[in-house]
Amino acid sequence: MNLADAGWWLQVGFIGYFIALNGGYLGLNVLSMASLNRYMRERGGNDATRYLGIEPSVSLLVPAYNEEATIRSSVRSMLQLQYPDFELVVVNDGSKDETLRMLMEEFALVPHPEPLRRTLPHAEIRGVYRSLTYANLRVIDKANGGKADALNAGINAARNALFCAVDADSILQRDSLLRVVQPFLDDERTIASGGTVRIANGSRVRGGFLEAAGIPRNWLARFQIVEYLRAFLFGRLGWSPMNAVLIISGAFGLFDRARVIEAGGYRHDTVGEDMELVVRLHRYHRERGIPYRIRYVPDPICWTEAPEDAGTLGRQRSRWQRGLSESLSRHAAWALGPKGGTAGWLAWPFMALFEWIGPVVELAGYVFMLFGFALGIVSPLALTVFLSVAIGMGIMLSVNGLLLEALSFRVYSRKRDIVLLFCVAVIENFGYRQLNTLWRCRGLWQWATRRKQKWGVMKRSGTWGQ
Amino acid sequence: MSFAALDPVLRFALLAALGLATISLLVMVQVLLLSQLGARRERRRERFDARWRPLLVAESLGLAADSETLPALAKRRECDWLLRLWNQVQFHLRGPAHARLNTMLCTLGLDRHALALLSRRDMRGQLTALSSLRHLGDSAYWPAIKPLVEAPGAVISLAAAEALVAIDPVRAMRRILPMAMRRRDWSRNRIDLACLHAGRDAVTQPLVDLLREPLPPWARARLLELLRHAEPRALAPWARGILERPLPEQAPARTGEHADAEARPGLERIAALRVLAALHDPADHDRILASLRDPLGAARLAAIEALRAQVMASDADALLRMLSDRNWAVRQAAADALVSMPGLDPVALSAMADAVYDRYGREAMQRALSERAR
Repeated sequence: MNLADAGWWLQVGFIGYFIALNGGYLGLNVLSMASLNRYMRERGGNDATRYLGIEPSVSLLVPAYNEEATIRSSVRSMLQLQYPDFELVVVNDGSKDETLRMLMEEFALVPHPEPLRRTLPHAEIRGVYRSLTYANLRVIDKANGGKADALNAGINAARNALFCAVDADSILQRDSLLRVVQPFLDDERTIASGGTVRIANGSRVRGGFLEAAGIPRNWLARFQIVEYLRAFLFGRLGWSPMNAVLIISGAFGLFDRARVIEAGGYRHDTVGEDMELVVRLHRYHRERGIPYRIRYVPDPICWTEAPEDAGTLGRQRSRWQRGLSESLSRHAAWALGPKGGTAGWLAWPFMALFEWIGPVVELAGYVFMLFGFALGIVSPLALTVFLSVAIGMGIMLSVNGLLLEALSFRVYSRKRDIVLLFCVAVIENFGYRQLNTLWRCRGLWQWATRRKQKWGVMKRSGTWGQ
Repeated sequence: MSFAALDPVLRFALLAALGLATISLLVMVQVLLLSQLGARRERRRERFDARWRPLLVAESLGLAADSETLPALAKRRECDWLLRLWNQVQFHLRGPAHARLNTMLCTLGLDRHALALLSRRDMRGQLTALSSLRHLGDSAYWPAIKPLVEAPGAVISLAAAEALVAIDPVRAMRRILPMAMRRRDWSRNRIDLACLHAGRDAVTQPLVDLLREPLPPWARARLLELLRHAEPRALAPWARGILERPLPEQAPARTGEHADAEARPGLERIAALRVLAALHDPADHDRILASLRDPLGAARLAAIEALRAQVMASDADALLRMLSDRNWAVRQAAADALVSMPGLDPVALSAMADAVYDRYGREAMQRALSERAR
């Protein structure tokens, strides 16, 4: 095979890959639409979720590391959640700032001689505190061990059968817990359910709750709004009816505590502990033939502050890619084995092909096609087809994410906001997506070179305040 | 260079790109239209609710003028909206206010609209109708609802079951509980809810009857969980019979393959202990004490909880022994039972905690004492 032949085959390969990538997502999009339609019908026109009197008690676990700026308002807002019976367990993971002191002052914490059950391993506990003002608030102070370690300590301390892992810098919609618990009420095989994470930048936050959703001024935050819509409304909604959801965001997910303990809890040696746990739960149940369901529900909302500078965002994306690589590689033998089920045989290869190795192929595709065109190896025709597929279908997918939003919850209902989001959906394909690909390639490099993991540092805009 | 003069493949590529751009634009137009239509519908609905909500409230309080003066419902959509609003308001009402709104709905003829919705294939409409008929609770609607309990989907069949419970709990439970042992797609939580609404009198006899029937393990596990809704006195002979059986020598090995709830061993002994806990009969005291030796941790925990309901000063020794149990939850429950014993002041309890030899038991006591001091 000569150079020209190799070049031709590479062109075909890259174009074919991009068609498969976007076509795969388009298929998922169709599934999501059907799933969303069914979900909306099953709600039977009930806009509000009501107390039924059968809701199981929930332990809300909030791991915190250097969260002095937001911890008081986060905890205060979580204590006001609309749910009949829940406890809040904040785990201070050896913060170097004043997180613990803030909590002690704000919530009148006193030491509590509580023996914790060591069902899951974690770093040394320095103290357990309970609040004199809120009977359902406890704080665990422990030596630094990472987010997974803090969550394991929280699981050990939790007193209820279900636990909900929530990021300390997130804002839960007041009824989100009531909504995310619904899959557990509807099907006793449910072992985990996750809600939607949305971007809070540009929205009005007061008293620890989000009052009105808005579009931020910062373009990076705007791009992330479209990205999150795509990721949640059709990335996860499409997999949910097939019991093949592989990710429940660490920012907001509800789990059956006993099943998580049986599966071994959160692993310390990964930066993607949330995804790794979900993949492991699939594996654990599939390998033992235990009936289970892992669900995604679109309407419980957790608002989170998105990074607004390229450095923080890039580090976050690299970390996510690394976490994804660790989760997928660790469970490859199960996924491709006889007990993979839909999660292993469909979702795992999809994620591996398009999310795991995707950035490398995408980057290679862009580099090869552009340099090849400059050097005359790639024809204008091939370049046009490539760009149509890579960018044109990318835009279509983003716009479809907006369609799902319009068909369902209409969080952004103003005409101006929708037009702006459409512009964002177009513009993100010229530069932002490619930048993202670079960050993800960096994450793959970090995974390949096994760089040491640590808590992700988030630069705050400071707009949420106390 | 004209379009026709281009290479055919390039022409195709350009057309494909144009096609994608057109589809994206069309989807965007659809997004805009849907958003605008949705927003307009929402505004109309809000106006409708704003007009009708005060009327419903006035009617529920008995302050409304003649029902004939109510605004006319022009379209079918408005009938649907009113049914949903009426359902929302009724959900929070009881007694005469509830009855007055029922009368109002029938006066408006919306009960017939609800029945018409039942026969359509629209799930959203069916759910709204079932909710309305549940609030109306009239036995005249039984024949229309009954077939829907057999519907293949769990959502509609459970909603229909709840409506039947509201109409005639005893008759409904005789029908629904045996079905709940066959329909695995019915969530146990929803059956729990139906049992709660039906009440003890309606639930007890069907559950007792089911206890005598051979059931698959998953259904047996479900039945045992539902026993808490029944009258404990009716279940006492069964519970005592279970606890009379000799205890197994040792706890069954944990086999991951059968780690799901329905296959867990000892469920019957645990259910029986819960029945005795609810019964509070001192005659069962020794039976409960004997269960503290059960090899299964969950059963020992249930025994402590049953004992706590009728704890006596003479049980202190047994509970103190349980403080050194190998099971964490059992130690905590024993400590809680000890600190809740009548006649023991904090000083005596502290002395008791200090005297506990086992370190883990002492920690459990300290925790329980700290919580008692709250």
